[in-house]
Amino acid sequence: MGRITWNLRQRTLGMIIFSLLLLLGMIVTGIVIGDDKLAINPDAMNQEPSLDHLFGTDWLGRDMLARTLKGLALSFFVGLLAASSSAMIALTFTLIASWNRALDRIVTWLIDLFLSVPHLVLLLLISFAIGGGFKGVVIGLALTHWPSLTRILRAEMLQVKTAHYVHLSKQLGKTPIWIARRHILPHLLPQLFIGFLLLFPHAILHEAAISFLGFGLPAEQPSIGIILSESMRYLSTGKWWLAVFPGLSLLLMVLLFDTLGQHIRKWVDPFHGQKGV
Amino acid sequence: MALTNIENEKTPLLEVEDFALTFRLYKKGLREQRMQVVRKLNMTINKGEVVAVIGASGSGKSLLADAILGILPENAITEGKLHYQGKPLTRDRQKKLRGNEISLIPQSVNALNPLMKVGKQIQTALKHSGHRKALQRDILQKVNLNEDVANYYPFQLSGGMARKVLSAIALVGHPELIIADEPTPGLDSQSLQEVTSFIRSLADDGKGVMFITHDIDTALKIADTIVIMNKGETIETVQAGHFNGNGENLKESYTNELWNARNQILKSNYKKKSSPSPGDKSLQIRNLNYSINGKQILEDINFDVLPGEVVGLMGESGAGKTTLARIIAGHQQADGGSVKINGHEHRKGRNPIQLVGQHPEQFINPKWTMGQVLEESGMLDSEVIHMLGIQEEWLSRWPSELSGGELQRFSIVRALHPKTKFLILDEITTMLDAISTVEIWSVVLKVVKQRNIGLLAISHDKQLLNQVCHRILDFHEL
Repeated sequence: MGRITWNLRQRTLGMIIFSLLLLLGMIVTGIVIGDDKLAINPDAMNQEPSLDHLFGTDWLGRDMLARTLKGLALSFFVGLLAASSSAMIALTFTLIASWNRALDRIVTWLIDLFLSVPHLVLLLLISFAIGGGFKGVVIGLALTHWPSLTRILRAEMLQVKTAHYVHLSKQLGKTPIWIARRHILPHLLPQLFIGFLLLFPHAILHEAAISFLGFGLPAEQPSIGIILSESMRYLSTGKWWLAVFPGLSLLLMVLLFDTLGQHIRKWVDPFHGQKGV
Repeated sequence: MALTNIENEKTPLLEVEDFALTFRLYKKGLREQRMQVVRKLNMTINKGEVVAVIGASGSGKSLLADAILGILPENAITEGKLHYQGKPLTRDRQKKLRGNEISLIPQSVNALNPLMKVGKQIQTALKHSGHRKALQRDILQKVNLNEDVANYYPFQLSGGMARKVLSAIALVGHPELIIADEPTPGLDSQSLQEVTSFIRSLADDGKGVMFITHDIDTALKIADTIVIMNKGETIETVQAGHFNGNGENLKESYTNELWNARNQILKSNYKKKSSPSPGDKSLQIRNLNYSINGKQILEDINFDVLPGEVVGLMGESGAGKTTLARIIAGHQQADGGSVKINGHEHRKGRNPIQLVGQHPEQFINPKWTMGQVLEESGMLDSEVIHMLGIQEEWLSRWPSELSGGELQRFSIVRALHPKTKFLILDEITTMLDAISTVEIWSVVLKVVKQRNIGLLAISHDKQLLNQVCHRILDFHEL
């Protein structure tokens, strides 16, 4: 039949390359697009999607495609930075908690403390205190998103810590640091990775939320959150394209990110890489 | 009607012919590799027959059971003929049959749900409703358990009772073909007797039984036919009666070896006579106490092990031998008492007392390759590796790709660091076949003698302890 059949390994790699390219394409075009494309154009206000403006234009005549791409790039970096630093904080705390009981209590107490304050309030406070903008939002997101992930990682860590092979390792004279690095860390990585993937869209949405409230990014920076919140005002007048395309693009990006994550895991993890047809 | 009945009588319950099993693997790069683990497997099970499948660990016994039930891992590819009642076993058919007509008595007692009462677990195995209580009573009676057991949780059962409960769950749906995957290791002689006679009675009732084991003696007690497997191949199919004397009736040399390995653990390189002289470098265990939830497990345990001495510790399953071993090796804290070598307690660094446990897979990090495991203990270039027959190629494998016997060899290498002064072996060969048992014990005893290591061997197997130990302690008299 002449069709090339690819084996699982090749298909996995194919998917990784495919999603990586698409993702990169989205972000690079977002970066490359200059400010002139974002300029207002009173001649072409409120146009529906057409060949000239694929995503339509807004009430100031700005091309929505350019704004969406620019916004995606911005949101991507916010999400990436916030999610990865949150994951790093969670991992560090978990490994600290593995040291002894006193430190475990302190970490647990910190988790409870952060979870007891509403997410958004804390986020606003931190972001506002640092001075808002890109930096404020990212730091705020990073400092508020680690507790739930830390809980999951800590549970896994406690389980590994009581495993027979860890007790044995202690009797082989290994230090707690050695055990944390060599025994516990490999078991935490899959959870960490999944946690990171879940935090990513979460962070983007929170960024949108505080931008919407006016404490996040300034209005001239077209993050997806700002685009969506602005479009709310025009939805009731039938300008659906203002929200639909940017929303779908965000969804697409998160999906791509997720696919990429899953396939990288399949590629790296010897236990899951064999499964599936 | 009569004719079809006769035909039914004649068709074997299960037919396996030229069965092969391959795993799809990706070791390096993009190339797909295939690893054949089972090939040329042949066997037939008729109604009213117990067929024992015997083989060393890693010979593919359990994979065969999984293939019949259709619960193989996703990356497995099967070839060859697999017929049940004359018709091929397809995936759909397996799904329909397993748990109904074909049922499994699993190897591990961990298969019981720890949070569900026994009675409830038996009832969930019943597909149709009505008379659940009555059926439950019947089946408990059949496996020789008290009716009250239905109200117990799994943690309240002893090892032997848990085995019987597993059988009860497997049998309550009246299956035709029963696959018993290693139902006996770890049982003391009385429980063993009960379980085996029960399995025999199933066959006498007209069911087919596939009895997977590594222990020839148990197999001979109940099986009609014995299928010998090695490295994924059927070596031969022998009538149980042919195993006698020195194995004159056995055709294949492997079978012969297996048969004769039973009684000759250490003839070659170990002499008991050189009894060690008492010195002050001995391991002293004094006044050990340990209790869980108010139940005293260890009470005032006292004994010594001298360097170079092999001490056996005997006791039935569930007595607390493993707990004692873990406390001596420092894996667990005692409530009171001391473990001293030469008058000193171990505080920091590598413990001169090392433990090898019954289930090696619990003592090896599943996320490590075997090379890393040896590296951890600094034994990567020890000569013991070669003595135990560990192959270079195994070092790059994951623990899940090795059999229990192979993993146990790694555990032993790891424990035999030059700084090890005392070794505790907790039922290390209970899960292994006769040939591996002989190989492992002879190497251990040789090294122990060379380096003057004191050895505490824990087992419920009196025959084994008699062969290897200078003296045997009874757990209850400590």
